[in-house]
Amino acid sequence: MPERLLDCDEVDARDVAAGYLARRLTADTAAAYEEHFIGCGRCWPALQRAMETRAAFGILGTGVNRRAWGLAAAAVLVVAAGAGLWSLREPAATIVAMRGGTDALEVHASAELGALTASWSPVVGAERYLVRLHGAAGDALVERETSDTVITVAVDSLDPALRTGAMFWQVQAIDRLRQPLRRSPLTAASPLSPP
Amino acid sequence: MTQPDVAPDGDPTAPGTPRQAEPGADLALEYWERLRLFAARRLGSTDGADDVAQETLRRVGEALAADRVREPAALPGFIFRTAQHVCQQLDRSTDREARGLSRLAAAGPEADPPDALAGLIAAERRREVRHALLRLSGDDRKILRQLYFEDMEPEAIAREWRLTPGALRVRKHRALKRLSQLLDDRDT
Repeated sequence: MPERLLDCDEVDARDVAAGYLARRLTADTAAAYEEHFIGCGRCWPALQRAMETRAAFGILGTGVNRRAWGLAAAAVLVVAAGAGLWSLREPAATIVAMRGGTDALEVHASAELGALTASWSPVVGAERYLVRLHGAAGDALVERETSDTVITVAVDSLDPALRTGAMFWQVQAIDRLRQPLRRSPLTAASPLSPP
Repeated sequence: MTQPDVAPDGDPTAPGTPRQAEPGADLALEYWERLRLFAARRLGSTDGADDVAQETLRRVGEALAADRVREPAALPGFIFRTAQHVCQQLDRSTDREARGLSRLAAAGPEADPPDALAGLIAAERRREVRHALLRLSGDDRKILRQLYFEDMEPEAIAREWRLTPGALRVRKHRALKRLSQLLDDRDT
């Protein structure tokens, strides 16, 4: 539990959002900020915009975020140091079946007229479907939510550098409480038709 | 929490009866992305972020149905603590050593490791924001880059621009406002 609570004015005055994304905050301050933004209609949108800005600069190629590399390297050292203690830990409570249902949702992919299409049969109880088009590296190229059972993405809307690489659809059916019902395996988006 | 509306004759299914509120669904809509971000940062990866969000909402929904959270003002704090517990359980139940070693194998000494939070932003959205950033003035773009990508301390940025910290905040807010206007224009 955070030692204290933050308010919006303090978050703004101290540029807490930037510090949070840069991992400059102490653990207590980060936890206090998390507890704040989870319930704040002003600070949450501000954090979202900060995240999007950070992610967008990442593809502008304006330099390496060296802090992330240093943290990743440090994480590996921590894991290696803790490995010897692993066997001494008591069995932890496990979360059963967190991943949604079975991978029994079949996606049909096609490509024509400069568009990629995915379609599937309706899932009983599904309110909406989370649809992602992944690149070969696993990054999400497109992320949509729909109540329909078909989705089309114009090839022109994709980053030119990513249009010719392998792409994969994944669809997850969720109920009105966003609980997963079924999830498809990664399904190759059909190769593009030659012009 | 307000009581759901009910038809005068007491039959909630009577035609014209206002649809009863679905607090669980509203909860999911409001907190889904916030929980994904929280989880991605705690876990250091987008893997599992959806799982944490879903499990958290499930447990909160159960608590609400059991009337264990009676004060609306207490709900965000309850959601936060639930998400913390779920993250801790997921972290313990996953083979952390295997994940760490696989990350090392994938990244290599020359590669830039993926930013877990950036992974929450689909490439499509990143491009939209990128286009809007390129339409900002050079000064606005530089300030935002220093703050949110180069991870410079605000005091250091203020010194470079010869501004007081307060004046820097004003410049930051103006730049973000212009960015939002550009994105809103694009979204409509």
